[in-house]
Amino acid sequence: MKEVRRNIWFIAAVFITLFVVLVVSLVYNTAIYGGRWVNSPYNPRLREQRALVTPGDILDRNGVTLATTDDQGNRIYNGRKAVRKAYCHVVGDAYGFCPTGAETFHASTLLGYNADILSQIRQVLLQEPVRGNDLTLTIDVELQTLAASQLGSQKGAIALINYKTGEILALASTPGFDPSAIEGAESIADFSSEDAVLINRATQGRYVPGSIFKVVTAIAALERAGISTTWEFACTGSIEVDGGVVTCSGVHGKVNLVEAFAQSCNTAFAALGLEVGGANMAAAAEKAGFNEDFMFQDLTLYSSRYEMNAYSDDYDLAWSAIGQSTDTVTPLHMAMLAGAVANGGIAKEPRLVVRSDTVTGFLRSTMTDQRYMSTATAQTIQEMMLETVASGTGKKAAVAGYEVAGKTGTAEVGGSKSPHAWFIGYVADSDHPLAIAVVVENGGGGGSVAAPIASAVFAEAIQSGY
Amino acid sequence: MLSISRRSGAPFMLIALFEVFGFAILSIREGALGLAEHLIDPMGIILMAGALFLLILQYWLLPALFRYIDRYVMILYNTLFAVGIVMQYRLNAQIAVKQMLFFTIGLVAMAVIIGIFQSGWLHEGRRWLYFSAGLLLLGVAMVFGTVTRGARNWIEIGSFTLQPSEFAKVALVFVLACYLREKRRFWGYTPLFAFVGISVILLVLQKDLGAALLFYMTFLLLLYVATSNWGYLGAGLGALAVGGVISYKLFDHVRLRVAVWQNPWSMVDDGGYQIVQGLMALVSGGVFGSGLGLGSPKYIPAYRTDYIFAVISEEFGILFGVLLIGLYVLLVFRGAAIARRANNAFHALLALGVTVMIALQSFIIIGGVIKLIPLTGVTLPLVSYGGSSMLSTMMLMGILLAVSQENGRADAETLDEAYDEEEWDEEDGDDNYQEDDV
Repeated sequence: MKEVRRNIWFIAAVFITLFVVLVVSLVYNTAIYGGRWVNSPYNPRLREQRALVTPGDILDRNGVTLATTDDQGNRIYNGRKAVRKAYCHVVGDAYGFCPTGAETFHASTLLGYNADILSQIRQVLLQEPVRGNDLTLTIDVELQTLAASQLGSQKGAIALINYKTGEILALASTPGFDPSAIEGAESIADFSSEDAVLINRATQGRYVPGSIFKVVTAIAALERAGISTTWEFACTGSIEVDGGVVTCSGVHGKVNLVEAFAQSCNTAFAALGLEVGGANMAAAAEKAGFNEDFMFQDLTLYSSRYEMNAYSDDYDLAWSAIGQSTDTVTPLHMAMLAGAVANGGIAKEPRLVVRSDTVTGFLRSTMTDQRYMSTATAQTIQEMMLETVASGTGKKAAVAGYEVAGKTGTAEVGGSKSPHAWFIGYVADSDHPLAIAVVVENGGGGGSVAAPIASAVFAEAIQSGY
Repeated sequence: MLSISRRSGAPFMLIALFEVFGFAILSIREGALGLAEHLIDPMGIILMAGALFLLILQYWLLPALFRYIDRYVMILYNTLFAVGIVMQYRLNAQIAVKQMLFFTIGLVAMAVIIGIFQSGWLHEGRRWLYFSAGLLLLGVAMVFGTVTRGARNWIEIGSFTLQPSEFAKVALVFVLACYLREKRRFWGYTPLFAFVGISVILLVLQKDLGAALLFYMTFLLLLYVATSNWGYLGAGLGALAVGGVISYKLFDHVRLRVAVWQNPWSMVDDGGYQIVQGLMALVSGGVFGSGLGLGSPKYIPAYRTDYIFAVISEEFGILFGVLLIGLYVLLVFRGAAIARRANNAFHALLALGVTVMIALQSFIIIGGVIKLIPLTGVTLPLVSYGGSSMLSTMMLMGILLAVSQENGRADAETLDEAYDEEEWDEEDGDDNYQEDDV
């Protein structure tokens, strides 16, 4: 019986632990994911609320109205169709067809669902017409429109951020849709065509990175394998790995790490990746935000994937080191990576909303900035990226009067399709802390297609004073 | 331990206050908004009167009938019921009336169980009664059961429907207590293993996975308590894991359930709908809730039964949800304390069986609702709507209270004897736990 008594306390302790886990999980999940759950396009409460409440306006950083509501209760978007199509994925639509847009993701702010109880009571008692809160975005609608027009009729995405604050200045995805026209659409099927117009390619598009991934390989080599910039490799145009062959864009001869990076030498980086090893590659990639489920406060960003590990075979590892194999990345994350290089290794949490001083404002001020690499590594990578634009594959990204750094990518997508054209980079000027990622689907060479777009967007942004 | 005076009515006053406010707010809500004919819904007033009457009746009558029953347990089940009945009235007045009726019948059943137990009729020797009652209840559902929501666990008698597996829980607690009260060799437990095995298989065949899990885990935990044998616990949990993997491989509905648990958002339109709606409701009210009657709970499937926790959390707030979990924690504490004070292993295991059963059940359903574990449909004890569930839970409460009553009576007798013999002996003289050869 004594034994039984002792065991009874044990069982009680087990259950109390279980209930504590229950409470912790409830509180933690509510705090971390609660906002997303409430703002889900599937939440019928928001639809209910929308019938009772006039949603607030959505403005750009300069106060330009992106979305408002007229007297009849119709949602009105910007007057120019090109502008509407340029910002459609960022702003979203009133029906939640494009659920990553601010109209849905920030619905509880726009609908005042999180208004405090006193103002709710006042509104009921005085029968005031209820209006939600306005939302000011960090994007500049002019830059946004320019970015979209740079992509033109091609499919692709551009993410332009301020790497010191994390503010997103432009987040373009083409093809776009017209949020004003969605009302007439019979169903979501009218819009979700083969072109996937409802997808925000800048945050949800998972692309093969190609050579821009060499930034990560270089970080791994510098930080985890004790390799320095004097590391040398003789490129003969191809390298045999594990019975397979990794080919290069040319025969680069004897190159050091900086030259290999600037010339985007595949064989050198394949060999580098093998030397660094799968475990180090995976560790460096994960430190740089790969495989992470981003839980940003302002927007949804799909994760980039790097799936090699200590047990991967050499052939896959070699290809993964040059951004092929199973590597996939999202454009905004790549802009963050370029920004982290420029910012001494720190990637700022991307911000889409200009903070307002609400009572609950203190909750929003805690941003999760992350260190993607050490400051010393960042400085070395900066040299390599500057060299790439100065004399390497990224020359066309240059902006007159400013130092631009970057990395091009020409990502093979298999079959007879043209490769994706990539450019990631930044402006090396502390007055203009701009970082960018450009991807053009099946656009061709990164240096010839994506780099000039980056140059044009940078030039316009600098002109506008960012 | 913190103690309240035996006669203190303060906790009951607080429960009454909660009920008065809850029903009052709700009964004028529709009238004030101009949605109903009368300003005050008469049904709300009737329910309020009923709830208060039951509370006062228990406060006076139960301690008079059974002097030593545990008042903490009384307070706890009344608090849980109060939260439940107010919520049920907020959801649907007719349903709340039925729930009130079930609770009344449950109270009577509880009192009857305490009474019979006190008479000594429900002793440890009646194992064949408990055995056959349990198997009969489960078998009846198998033979005469009707299929509801994919599970064959209901039987219809006239216009009533019953869920026999709920009552089989009561039988299980008795079977476990009378078999585990004395230590045996492994083969000595064969009839018990057979009983649990058959029960679990019947429940799985009826696709009542929640009850199957509940039966098995209660059995396993009590087996450990009685034998102190980690091997049994380890092997049992191992068998559960193997069973889980096999059923994952074999059954589509199990796979679906796990997939839905891992990522409900990827299948919002079919399998994940309930979980997603539940999660959205859970957080929609914030920390302090949207306010009683101001939420939108009816989007969640099974909102008045399995998902009542999400509904409460939406309207009363997450903080209240946490406190509700706290009430079950207190019940575990109290149940364990009663079990520890018990005079013999039979009583201890009865009390602990009840405690484990209720704690497990509330953990399984709250954990499922907040997506900590895969969702398994069981009711939230004393809060969810459901006649069979309410009745069986009140019967379990009856067992717990009966043991506390026995504890008190035994203590009083020892005290009397001590007076008679004029000696105060601190000896732990109740070690009549029989040990067979081990």
